[in-house]
Amino acid sequence: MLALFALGLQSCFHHVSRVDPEKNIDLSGSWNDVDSRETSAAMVTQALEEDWLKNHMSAKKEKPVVIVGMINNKSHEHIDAETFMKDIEKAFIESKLVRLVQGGTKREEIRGERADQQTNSSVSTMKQWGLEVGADYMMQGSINSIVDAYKREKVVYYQIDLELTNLQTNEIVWIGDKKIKKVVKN
Amino acid sequence: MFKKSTHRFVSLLLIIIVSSCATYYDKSRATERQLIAGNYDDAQKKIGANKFLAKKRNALLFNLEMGKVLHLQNKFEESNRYLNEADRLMEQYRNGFETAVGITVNPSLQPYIAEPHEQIMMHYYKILNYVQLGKMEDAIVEVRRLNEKEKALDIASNSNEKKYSQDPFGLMLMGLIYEADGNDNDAFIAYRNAKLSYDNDQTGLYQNNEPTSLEQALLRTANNSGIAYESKEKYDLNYAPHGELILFYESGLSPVKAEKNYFFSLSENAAGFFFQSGTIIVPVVYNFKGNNPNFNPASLGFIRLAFPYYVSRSSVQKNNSVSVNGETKTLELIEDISALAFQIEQDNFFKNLGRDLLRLTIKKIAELSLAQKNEYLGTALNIANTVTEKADTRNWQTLPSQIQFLRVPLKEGTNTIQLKTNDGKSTSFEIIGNGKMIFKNICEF
Repeated sequence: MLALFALGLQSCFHHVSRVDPEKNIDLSGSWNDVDSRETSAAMVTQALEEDWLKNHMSAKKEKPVVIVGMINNKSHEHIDAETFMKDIEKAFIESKLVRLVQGGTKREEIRGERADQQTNSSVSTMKQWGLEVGADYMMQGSINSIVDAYKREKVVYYQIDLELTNLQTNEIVWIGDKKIKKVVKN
Repeated sequence: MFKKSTHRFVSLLLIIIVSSCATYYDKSRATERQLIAGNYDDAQKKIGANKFLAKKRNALLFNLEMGKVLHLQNKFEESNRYLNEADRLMEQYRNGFETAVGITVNPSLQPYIAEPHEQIMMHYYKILNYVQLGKMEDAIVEVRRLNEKEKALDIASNSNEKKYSQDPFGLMLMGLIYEADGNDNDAFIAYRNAKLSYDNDQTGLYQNNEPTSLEQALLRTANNSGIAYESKEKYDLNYAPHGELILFYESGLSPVKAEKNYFFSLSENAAGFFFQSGTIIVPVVYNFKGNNPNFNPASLGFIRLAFPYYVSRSSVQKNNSVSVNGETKTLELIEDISALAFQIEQDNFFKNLGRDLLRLTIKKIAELSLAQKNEYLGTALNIANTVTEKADTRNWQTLPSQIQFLRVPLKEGTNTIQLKTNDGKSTSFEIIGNGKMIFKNICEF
C-alpha cells in the first residue's frame, strides 16, 4: 500500500517548464552553460582592459585581429570546448574592440568552399586565394579542475587559464584566469 | 460479505506476492540467453523491451546494461552516450523522498545504487570506447573521473585493507592510458598507487597477483619522467619501439543476486537490543523504549527479512593462451569481478543486515500500534508490509566474470594474434605495429 502510494506520488513528479536561457540553474554541480558564459565574459573583459590593446592601437592605428585557438580540457569532466570557445568569440565580437578570424575546422570548411569556387563559380564572384586577414594574436588556454570529495560532500574547483600570444614575436601579451568554486552536497 | 471480500483481497495479494518474487535475474534471462549465443543485437533488443528496466528507478541499471551491449557491438559512440548518462545518474542528487522510500518501505523501490566495482567497470568501458574512437582527451577525462572514484572507494572503506577499497585494476588502467598519452609522470604515479594497492591488500584478492609487466612499467615511466625508482630487476627500457598490444580478455558472466528469507526475533540484554536468527546476532542501536517504556521485544514475534545474496553464474574457467606472431604468451588475471562481488557482499553483510532489520522493526511497530486501534487496518498494513518486503536483487548483469590481461611488444607492420581457449574456440586478428600502445578487448560469455 505504501509502495503503491510511493509509486503514485513519483509518477506525478514529471514536469516541464520553459526558462530564460540566461537564467542561472545549477543541478548537479557539474560544469554547465552558466560557467561557460560567465567565464568567457569575465576573461574577455579582463583581456580587453589590459595594456596590450592600447599598445597595439597606438602602434598600428587599427584594431588587433585575434584568433581563438585550442582550449585544452584538463578537467575531470567532459567539457565541450567548442561552446566555451564560441562564447569567447562572441564576447570579443560584442566588445567591438578587436577583429576576429575563423580558426579550426570551420576555417578548413571555408577554404574548402573557396577551393570549390575556383572550378564552379563565375570569375566575377569567385573569391581569391591569399586574401585572408592574418591574425595578430592567438588566444589559447586550458580548463583545470581539482576535486575534493568526502562521502556525500564535494568541493569542485575550476581554474580556467587563458593567454594571448603575439603571433609575429611569440611574446605573451596577456595572461588571465578565472576561478570557480562549487560545493555540492548529496 | 466482509469475510468474502477480505478473502478475495488476500488471494489477490498472494498472487502479487508470488508474481513479485521474481528477481531481476529472472526478468533478464532472455538477455542472458542472447549474450551467451553471441547475438548482441538481440540482447540489446531484450534490454530495450525489459519492462522492469524501463522503470524510472532502474534508469541507471538500464543505461549500464545498454552501454555494455552496445560496446559489444563496437558501437562505441552510442555505448558512451548510455554510460555517460549512467555516470550522471550515479552522481545525481538523491531526493529525500526516494531515500525515505528505500529506508522505510523497501530498498528495491529506491533508485538503483551501483556497487563500487560496477562504478570502476563503467569507467573501464567508457575509457575503451573513447580510445577506440581516437578521443584521447576524453579518455583522459575518464581517467581523472576514475581517480575520483578510487579516492571515494578508499574513503568509503576507511582505508581498511581487509575490505575492497582502492581497486588496483582501475589504477593500472589509469597508468596505461596516461602512458599511451605520453604522460609518463602521471602514469608512474598511477602505477605506483596500483603497486601499493597490490602490496597492502589483505582481502586475498590482489596481493601477489600484480601483473608481471607492472615493475617494468614503473621503471620505464619513472626513467622517462626523471623520477628516481629502484628496481631489483633489470629491464630493457626501450623494449617496444614498434608499439605494444594491451589486450583485455573478458570471460563468463558476473554473479547475479537471489533472495533469501531470514526469520529474526528481537531480544534484549544488558547491552541493549539485538536481533537473532540462528547463529546470526545483530545488535541494534535504537531505543525501542523511547516512545513506549513498556515495550516488549517478544511482542514483535518473528520478522521475515528478504535479503539479497550473490550467486555465481556457471561459467567455464578457461585456460587461455595467446600466440603473438607464433610465440605463446600467458594471460594474467587482472580483475576477478565474481570474487569482488562476493568480497563486497561480505564487507557489507552486517551493515546491510542491521539497516534492513531496523527498517522491518519500524514497520512492525507501526503495524502493532495500528492494530491496537483497529484490528482490520493493522492486518491490512501487515499484508502490505509482507507484500512490499522484497530483496533488492538488482546488479549489473552484462558484466563479465573475469578479465585477463596481457601487454606485449609488437613488431613493425602486421602482427598476427591468436587466442585459444580450452573449449576449442579460437579467435585471431591482426594488428599493425605503429609505435603506439594499441588497446583491444575481447569478450566471450
